[in-house]
Amino acid sequence: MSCFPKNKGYYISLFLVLIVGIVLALSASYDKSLQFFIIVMITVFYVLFGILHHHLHHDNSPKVVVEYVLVGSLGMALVLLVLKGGFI
Amino acid sequence: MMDQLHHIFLPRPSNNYRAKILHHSVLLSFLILVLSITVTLPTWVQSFPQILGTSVDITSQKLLDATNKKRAEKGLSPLKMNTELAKAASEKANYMFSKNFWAHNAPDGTTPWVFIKATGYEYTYAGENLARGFTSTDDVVKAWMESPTHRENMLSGNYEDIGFAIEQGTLNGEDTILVVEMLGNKSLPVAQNRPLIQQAFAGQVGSGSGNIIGAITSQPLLTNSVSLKDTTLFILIVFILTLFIDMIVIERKKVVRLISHNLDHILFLSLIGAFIWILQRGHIL
Repeated sequence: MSCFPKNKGYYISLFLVLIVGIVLALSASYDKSLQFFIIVMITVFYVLFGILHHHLHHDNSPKVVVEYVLVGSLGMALVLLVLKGGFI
Repeated sequence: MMDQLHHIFLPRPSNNYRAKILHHSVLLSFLILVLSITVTLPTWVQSFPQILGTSVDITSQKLLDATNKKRAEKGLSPLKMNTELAKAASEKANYMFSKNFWAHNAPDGTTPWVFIKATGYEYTYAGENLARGFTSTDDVVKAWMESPTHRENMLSGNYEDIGFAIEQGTLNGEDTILVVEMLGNKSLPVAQNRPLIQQAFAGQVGSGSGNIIGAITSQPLLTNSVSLKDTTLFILIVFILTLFIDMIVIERKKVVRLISHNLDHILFLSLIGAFIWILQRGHIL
């Protein structure tokens, strides 16, 4: 939590981009493929932004990259599961 | 047992100060599991429709009853089921599936009124509401009533007749249910009331082979829509809480780890959860 004050700009930027992406995805409810595409774009941004942030703070490592990729992929996979299987 | 739970959900020496559920191997296992279910789910649903599937309960009679109930609340006369309008609605639903579109007017310019006239129903007023992807009559009527244009159609004093089509088919490669509601009146003198095409559409279009029937009902033992949504939200909440607890404990113990920021993951997974939670079941047009 202590990382929040010193990275306030980073977290606010991340939150704003993610929230805009989610709103866009929700507004594209007429096309689930488009919805999923937007979620993929959000995830790619989240992964790259996170990695870039660690890189700039000189605490990046393969382990960090893998963690962002895994968490991002898991979030994306859960959305895909609901979009593909949760509706008629 | 408690020790095992602590090992899975709390950072401590036994898990190298990172909750086991957040280890890469566990995250990867979850990912593979979720993807496997996503890929195989359609096969399961097709193979065991009585056990796993989506619960559907939409019938013309229930739509009529719900519509007339709303009209009665406003002191309006009930609408009568009309076979010509029902046939027109069926034709429209079939047309949307066959031409793979979801709109009031087809890409080739065909309007809803073409389908009504083709049945021989000579209207002075006509209207259309469309809905797509809903699984219950109440949800369809609720969505229409919450939309000013659709509500206006349903509560209009200009209509006397109504017809529904509830059709299952494939639209844009996606299995879905279309509900088409056609409203009309052929008894009002044209001289007294200018012919008015009251257009209100609620639905989505696509291509496919559909069975136009007056009702679609199915009640599998497990309903995948509810189960999947609930399950995914549960998984997300578990991960978010674990990340949060992990963050707090590590902050307090001042443990130094070279890992990514938990707050990033919490933000991302929370918004993914919000998206899944808000996802609507159906659309109107």
